[in-house]
Amino acid sequence: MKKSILFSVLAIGCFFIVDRGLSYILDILYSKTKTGQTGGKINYYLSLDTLPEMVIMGNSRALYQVIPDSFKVSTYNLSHAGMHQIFQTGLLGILNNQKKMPSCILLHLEPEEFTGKQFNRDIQNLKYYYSKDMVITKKINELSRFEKYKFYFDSYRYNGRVIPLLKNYLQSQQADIASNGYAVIIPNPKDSINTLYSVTIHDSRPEEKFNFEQWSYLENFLDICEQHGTTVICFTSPVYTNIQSNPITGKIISKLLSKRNIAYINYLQHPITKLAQHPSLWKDSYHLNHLGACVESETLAKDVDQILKNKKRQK
Amino acid sequence: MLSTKEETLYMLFNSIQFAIFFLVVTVAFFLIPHRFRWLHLLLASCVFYCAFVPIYILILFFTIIIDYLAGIYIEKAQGAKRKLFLTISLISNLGVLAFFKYYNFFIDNINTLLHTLKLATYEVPFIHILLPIGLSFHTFQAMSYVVEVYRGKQKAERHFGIYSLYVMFYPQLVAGPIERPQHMIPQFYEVKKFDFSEAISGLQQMLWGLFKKVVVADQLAIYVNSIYNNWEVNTGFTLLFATYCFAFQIYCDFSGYSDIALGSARVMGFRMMTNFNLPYFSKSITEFWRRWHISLSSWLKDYLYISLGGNRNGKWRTYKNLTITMLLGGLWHGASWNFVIWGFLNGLYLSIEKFFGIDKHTPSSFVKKCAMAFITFNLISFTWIFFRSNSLHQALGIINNIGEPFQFWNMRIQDTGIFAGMSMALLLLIFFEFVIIRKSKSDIFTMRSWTQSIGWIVTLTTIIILFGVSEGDQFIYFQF
Repeated sequence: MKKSILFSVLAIGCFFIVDRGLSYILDILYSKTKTGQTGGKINYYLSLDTLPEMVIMGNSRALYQVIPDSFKVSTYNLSHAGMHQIFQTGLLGILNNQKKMPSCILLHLEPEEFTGKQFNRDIQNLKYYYSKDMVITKKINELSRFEKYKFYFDSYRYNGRVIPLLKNYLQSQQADIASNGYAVIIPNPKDSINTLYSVTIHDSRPEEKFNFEQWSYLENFLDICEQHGTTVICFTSPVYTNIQSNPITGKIISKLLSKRNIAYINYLQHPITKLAQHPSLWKDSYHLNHLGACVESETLAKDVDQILKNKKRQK
Repeated sequence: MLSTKEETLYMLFNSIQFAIFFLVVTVAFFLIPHRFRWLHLLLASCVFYCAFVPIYILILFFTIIIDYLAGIYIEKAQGAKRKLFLTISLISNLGVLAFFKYYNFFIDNINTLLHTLKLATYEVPFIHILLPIGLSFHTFQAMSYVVEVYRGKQKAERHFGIYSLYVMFYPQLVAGPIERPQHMIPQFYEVKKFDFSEAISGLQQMLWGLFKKVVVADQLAIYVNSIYNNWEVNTGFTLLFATYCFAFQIYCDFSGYSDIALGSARVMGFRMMTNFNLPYFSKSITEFWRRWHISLSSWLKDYLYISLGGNRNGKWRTYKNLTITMLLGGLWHGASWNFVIWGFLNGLYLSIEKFFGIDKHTPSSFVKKCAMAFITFNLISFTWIFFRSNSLHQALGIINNIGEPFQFWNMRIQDTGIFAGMSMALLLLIFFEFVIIRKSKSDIFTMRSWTQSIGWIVTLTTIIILFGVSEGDQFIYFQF
């Protein structure tokens, strides 16, 4: 029995030293990383001396489709591909804690994510901030009964992201990292074929029940903005066909947002004609390439400008 | 009844729940007197099983009671009665398996047939129930007991608790290894004393299994799923590469499970049969099946192939028996034509090898060995296309895309981070298996020194924490 206890103590001790040592090294690398989705982009934004007036937040359909330079005010695109509302709310919490709130946020909403499914696990992508940010810690702990035990291992905060972190760290050291956050999808001659083909492989789905739990994350987001007097404008990017446009969900979102006096530009309900006619502007039926992004950004910039002018007038 | 996948993810070997369960059960096992240990393990196994779909334990008990009684009656009876009791037991076991696993498949085919022949306009309804977890495994394990008693190679077990434990022993309950009564039952009677080096060896094996599952298999799964789920837009080389990745994914997933099962039993002093022995180093399909899912392939050989006549009735009957055995082995994996084709292809390969005498040929030179291992790996990978695809249409579409010469050289990497992670995991696996495990003359998990064991445990734990997929899927073989 003594042998077992001694072995356990030694093994745990060695592991503790390795775990803390690795965390220390990874923390240093993380703090110096200024590009990529593993936190570099957030670090870059937080390190800006002069904050932009407007920040764009959302998923890939905001990241690849909204060009910050199209807007009249200084803008940064802080979107992260594949991330849903819970991630955006967690991210806003970080900006709030670090006192880096912009005066206006252009938030991309995906009606589909306010239907039956749960996307709570996206908060894991902010696990670096576990125990550093109360909201993120709470949301991660809520994922499962045993989630908090994983964080007894300090290096778990880097679980699944060591290689991307190293890659982004090296990129941050070598390249000119100044950026407006927009990620380009370079147009490809095959884009039209891929777009037309991707339409054929997506079936139309019946609309699912509105998910108020997902909505509550957006409510939290809006509450934080309200506390800071940050203007929020929500928008939804178009799709090539309206197969999965979730019109009922879109209307519910519109109604709920208008109750809070939040402007909502829904290009699913009011498609941009030019985009609907040209498959060459798309990479697939959900994502625009750079040519399409220019069209959407131009339209969005005009609409946002109009909304901001109206708001100023109201004030 | 469970409705979502999330709810079914309890007590998986790669969960914290299991780590706690295992610790509590193991410590308690050594603290309580030997005479109560069978009860302790049986209760623990019940808890483990009930963590999935509790009500299904009644089905398990139903078959346990039938087989327990059948064993005793077969031993007592003489002549035709012995066969009668054996038949009752086999029908009960296979009946449960057929109902839960093959009913919908059968109905689907009946409906298709009726529609094709325009014999009926209505459809026979499907039943919407979950498959009891590990049904195929514990059914085969129970059947092996009854057949062994019938063959006179195993005494009927009189202790109901021990027999139940033989079927329900939690490390092997849901995905094997499919044990034999001669090997397992006597171990439940042995007085197990805590053996420090065996416990450490078991823990090392568990960690190795966990590494294979969460670091290799689950990372590969992300890539494989993204390619296979969008197979229509992917071209030759990408699909071929994804298929190779799946070959390693399923190997690491299933052999990882087996290692955790063997390791967790070993900590308590139980030895279970080895299920995998570096299968992708095989130089023929025959050798592959001696190294892959050994407990199933030996089961199929002992109870199906030999019962069909084996190789006793001439060449062609041997080929037929081989093909039937593998075809049914394919159907054992799942109720779909894809699995039938997968089994058939393996049977065909084995028959062709027998025909040309490849199964007995041992290549002499290193180059020949490598060439044969490469060909074997590719032949097996071809069958994995049917195994992984969701439908026959998808499998044929993928094969067609792979064979498309003008668009072959187009590689889709998807996420560079994930791709780099899975490449690193694969390299680590190949390094460990090729350099360490393959060269090792004895069991590599046996504790040799404190430094080595602590090094192994700390290294693997660190790799698992940093690179393991924490939200990984459940084990592929749980569905069978």
